[in-house]
Amino acid sequence: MTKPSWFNRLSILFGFAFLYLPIVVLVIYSFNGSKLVTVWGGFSTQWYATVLSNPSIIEGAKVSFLVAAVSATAATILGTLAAVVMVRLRRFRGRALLNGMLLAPMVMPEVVMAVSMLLMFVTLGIDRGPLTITLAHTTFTLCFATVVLQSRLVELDPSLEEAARDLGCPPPKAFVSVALPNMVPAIVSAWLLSFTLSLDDLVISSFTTGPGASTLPMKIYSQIKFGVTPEINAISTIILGIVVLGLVAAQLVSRRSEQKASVA
Amino acid sequence: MQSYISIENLAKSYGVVSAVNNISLGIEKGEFFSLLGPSGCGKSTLLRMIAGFETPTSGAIKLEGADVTDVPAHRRPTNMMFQSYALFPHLTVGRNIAFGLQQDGLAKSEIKKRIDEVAEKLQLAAMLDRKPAQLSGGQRQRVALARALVKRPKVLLLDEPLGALDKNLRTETQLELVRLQRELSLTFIIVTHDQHEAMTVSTRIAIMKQGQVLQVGTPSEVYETPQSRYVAKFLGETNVFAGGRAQRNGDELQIESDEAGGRLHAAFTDRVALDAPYWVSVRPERVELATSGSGLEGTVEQLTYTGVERHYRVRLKSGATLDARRVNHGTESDLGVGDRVFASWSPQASRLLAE
Repeated sequence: MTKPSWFNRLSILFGFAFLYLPIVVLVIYSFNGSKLVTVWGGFSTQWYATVLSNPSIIEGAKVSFLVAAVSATAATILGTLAAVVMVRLRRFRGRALLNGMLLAPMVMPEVVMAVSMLLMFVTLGIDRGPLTITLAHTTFTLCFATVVLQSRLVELDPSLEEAARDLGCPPPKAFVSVALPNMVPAIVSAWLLSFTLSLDDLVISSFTTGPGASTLPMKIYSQIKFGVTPEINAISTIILGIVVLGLVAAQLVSRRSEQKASVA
Repeated sequence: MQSYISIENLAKSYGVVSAVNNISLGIEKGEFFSLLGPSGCGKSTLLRMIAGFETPTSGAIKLEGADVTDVPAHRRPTNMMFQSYALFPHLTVGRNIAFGLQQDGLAKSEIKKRIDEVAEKLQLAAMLDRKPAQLSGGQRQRVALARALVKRPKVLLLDEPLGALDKNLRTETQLELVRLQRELSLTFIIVTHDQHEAMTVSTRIAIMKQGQVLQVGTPSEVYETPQSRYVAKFLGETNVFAGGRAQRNGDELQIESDEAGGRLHAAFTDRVALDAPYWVSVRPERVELATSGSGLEGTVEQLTYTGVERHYRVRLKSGATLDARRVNHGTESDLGVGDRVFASWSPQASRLLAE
């Protein structure tokens, strides 16, 4: 291997700085002793204490995590079914339509989706609150979950399930006992991806929420109207920590399953 | 008489494309039956219908007289060995083999006994705790075989089972399959596109083309007495010359062939209709080449040395080519490229083909 030239090193440094500097600054300032965001006033964890004793923030976090967990679970289950249909049933009436609808949320402007969902809930007379946010989040995270699961299922040899059936396993059980175990890494990453996307969402939550149900991003956003406070930095750092943990976990799960499959 | 497996007017079409076209076949108990043909001839579709993965468009499949056409795959007493082996990657070798027995709800002790039995037979005892990814290609192939055999199926279906193995291992495994099949006295149906493989392992071969069975017979029957040019050319190599009507002359038939540039001789059989033109087929190993004498005259155009044999390509005076072979007896060839030769063969070596 050749040694990286000074130019390569510089570009790597610049690349990392571009990606991570804002986050590093955020994390550093969350430990700022000063009340002023941009002035360093010594190391302190006081803002974490403030955050954790702020009932409004805690309430928002609870709503956010509940919505994220439920919608991620629903999206993963529906996504698995959608992926099975799309991959295993090559031809059926409405295949193109289903495919389009599954991928639409990826390209559709979020505001448009948010407005249409709001309209639907109003038309159907559903009271807006955590339930409507959850439903809306399930819809938009479903497409990401489906894509992750679909790509795994395509790689999975269809004769695995046939072999199971051939050995005496009825079709539904063949799927559960042979295909599903081999999809676990994809299912875990689909869930984590959906969870993160839901946790992160502001636009759709704002449109589909009702009185008394605010997610954490909504709380943060409303606080920011009065200026960025070190408290916000602290919350963001906590969320960042959770997301990083999730990503690391997903990585570990898939790496371990890869290792299992390739030990020679 | 009812066959062990009888396939009756079986057809399968996908939309307007017909994959299997009205096939009827009888396969007897204890046979090692081959479905042989090029890719796309419908042989795999036929096998998958016997396994229960494809529903026939029409026709019936009967096993020991019982109609199984509508019995789903998981309730058929057949087991299949897949081309990709389809080993379950998340289970150990032992649990892969146990899978089918567990579906039948057998007792643990019985399952263990049967696994040990089959593992010993297929030299897998040392690797029962490994995962499929940790095995070599040949070992995986044996696991796939063990997993299907352990269920003691009435019929074992093999879909191009040796396609992924290298040549030496494949030859070895073919003999192993034959040994196993005799030992267990099971009925095997194998799908292959490799004529050598079909000839080596089978008791009978069905040669397929475009969804139809052209000819069924023992390896020597289909090789020695092909009924069509397609079968003659698909099984091994052959020289085919278009000829006119056959003339009877005692025990012999004579056919004038412009293509070969002379009169060809064949043994008389009463199956030959004397009022139709025929093609004459002769295998290269039956052709004799001499530097003088009678027969079809030509010049040696190409000489190939393969170790076992020498292959001669002769350009006949008529312009057609003729292939001939001689087994290598360790002596130098007395014929070289450019030499004038006379090709002949015994009348018994000629096959008259109507189509």
